[in-house]
Amino acid sequence: MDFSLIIQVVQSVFFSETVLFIILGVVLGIFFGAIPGLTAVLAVVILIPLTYGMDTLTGISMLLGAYVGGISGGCVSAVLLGMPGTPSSFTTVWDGFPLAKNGQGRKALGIAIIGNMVGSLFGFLVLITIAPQLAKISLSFTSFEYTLIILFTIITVVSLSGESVIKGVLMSVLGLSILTIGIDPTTGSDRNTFGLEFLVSGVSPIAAMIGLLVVSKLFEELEEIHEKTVIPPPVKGGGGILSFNEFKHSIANFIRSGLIGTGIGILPGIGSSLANFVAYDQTKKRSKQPDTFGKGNIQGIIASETANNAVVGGALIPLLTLGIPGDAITAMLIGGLQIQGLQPGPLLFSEQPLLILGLFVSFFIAVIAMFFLMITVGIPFFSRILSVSKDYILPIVIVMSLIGSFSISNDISNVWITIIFGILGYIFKKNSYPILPLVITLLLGTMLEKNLRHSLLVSEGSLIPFFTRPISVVILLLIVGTVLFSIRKHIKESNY
Amino acid sequence: MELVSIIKKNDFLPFLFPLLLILFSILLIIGSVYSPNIFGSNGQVIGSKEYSIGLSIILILVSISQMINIKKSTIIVKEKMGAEAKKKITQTTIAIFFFVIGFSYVGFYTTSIIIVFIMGMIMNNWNKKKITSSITFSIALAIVLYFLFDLINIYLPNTWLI
Repeated sequence: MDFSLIIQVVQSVFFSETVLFIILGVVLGIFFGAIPGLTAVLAVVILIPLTYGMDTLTGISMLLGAYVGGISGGCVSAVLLGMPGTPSSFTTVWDGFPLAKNGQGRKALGIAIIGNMVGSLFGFLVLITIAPQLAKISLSFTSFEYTLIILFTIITVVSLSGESVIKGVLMSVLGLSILTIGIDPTTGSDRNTFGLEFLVSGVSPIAAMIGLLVVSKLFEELEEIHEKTVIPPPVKGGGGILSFNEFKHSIANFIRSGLIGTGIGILPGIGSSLANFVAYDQTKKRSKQPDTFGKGNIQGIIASETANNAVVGGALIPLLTLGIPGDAITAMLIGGLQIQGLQPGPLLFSEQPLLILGLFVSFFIAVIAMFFLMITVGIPFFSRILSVSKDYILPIVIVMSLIGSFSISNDISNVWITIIFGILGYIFKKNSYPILPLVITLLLGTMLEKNLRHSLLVSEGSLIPFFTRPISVVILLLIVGTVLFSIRKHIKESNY
Repeated sequence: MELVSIIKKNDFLPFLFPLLLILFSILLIIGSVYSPNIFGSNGQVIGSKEYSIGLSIILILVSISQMINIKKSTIIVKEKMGAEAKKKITQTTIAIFFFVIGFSYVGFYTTSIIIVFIMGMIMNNWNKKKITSSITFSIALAIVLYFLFDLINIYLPNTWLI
């Protein structure tokens, strides 16, 4: 491509209204990502109809801005309220919230934002340099590999989620069993509905997740009656975000988590809810102080937020090169492209190279805008606002969560699901049953079932392909490694 | 937390959850048996029923393992909730239930003004001095949400009031 054309495209994006719409998208995305219950998906869904009257580049750039902002915004409530704003920020809670409880909310949020930026830029670099090559790799993933990678994620979450492995396994299997209620994802027939109409739609995983993570947390905060605020007010002059030494010691973590996030992002259908667990687990295993994870170790925040934002760039690779969405949000972006009369895929690169280049530039602008907005305005604003009295925060959280549940499919039954799972989540926590395996299996269980049944259909019931396909073998080894590591840890703890 | 309760080895309570899961699994097995079993194509090894029944059996086995685990442990120490916290949680739960009913039939903004006010009073132990601030906050929140939801096109159910 002619270099002067590249300069022309860059100038046309930078010095046009496109930049304003990117910033608008980022702001809206941050807002939706930050409020538990309103996810990044909803931000993109709301903006899609607005793109109808815009030119292609501006419209899609705004959606990209919402995507970047939404994934990044999830760290705000994860760190400052202990409630992940999006599924991709689950593990950020584990170390971010304890730091905020100790009056270091600004530091924790700042570290998360740096992780967001580094992860996004990592994914961006991979996107612009080797997107078509990576897309070919993603095509070699079949249902066998998908089954194993989802299984690997579930096992990773179980191993991370607490002292009792049996309880973790119990909650995972419970999640998979709950998903058998409703419509069979393969044949479309009713299953376990007992003839009751309200069971036909099954259990919405997102509504259940909001209940388990947000509503149950609300009840926990009500218990802490002696604390008037969720987190203490920010300390004035509380020091920098990340010292040079801390940054130096985090470089390996940034790179590893960026690779994990991008790698998972390019796998169509998986999404960022996997990336933060895998990255967190790998970082913890490699740490010399694994016991400090879950108590405010900044490496945990860095792993989680770098990986979840690296997914963004990764997820755009199969979208733009193959027309296959990398996650739910990129599935929405396909809608945005189709509104503009475009079909993503290999032909888009050859027929609209300037548009693709413009999208790359817009993505870069969105990442930089997100970083500056969050560092300059976001941190002081959110850490001040969210340290107000619980009397104000908790009612806002419950109202927005229930609206978020309703907005999933404009169905009141999702709100009931949220409340029921909120109460159940609270009871589980009081009895030391980990809820994260339940959350992750609710999110991934349908995909696991579809891929497992499809794999067995293709192999006519044989399990051999799981042990002979090269990528499957690698994932199996990772699964075995994780299981052995957990057993070793359990034996060590029992002897101690 | 105010108190700690000690649940001894032979107490029934810790076994309740695994038992409920076993009952749930049995229900799923019954449900699967009576659900239509449509095989998508010849050679489909795990059908809809087989998957559900298989999972239910695994759930029963893991629940039994958990019960054996509980039996082996000597004592279980649990944090006990104070009476005041219990009262707040119960009242908040009831308020949330009424919020959803009101949201569905009466109107989102009307219900949120009432319920947010009630939640504020619950958290302040029904302190009469907090009535003005609670009601001001609930009205202000409803107004902000009205304009916000209108701006971002959030749809609400058709109800009797707004």
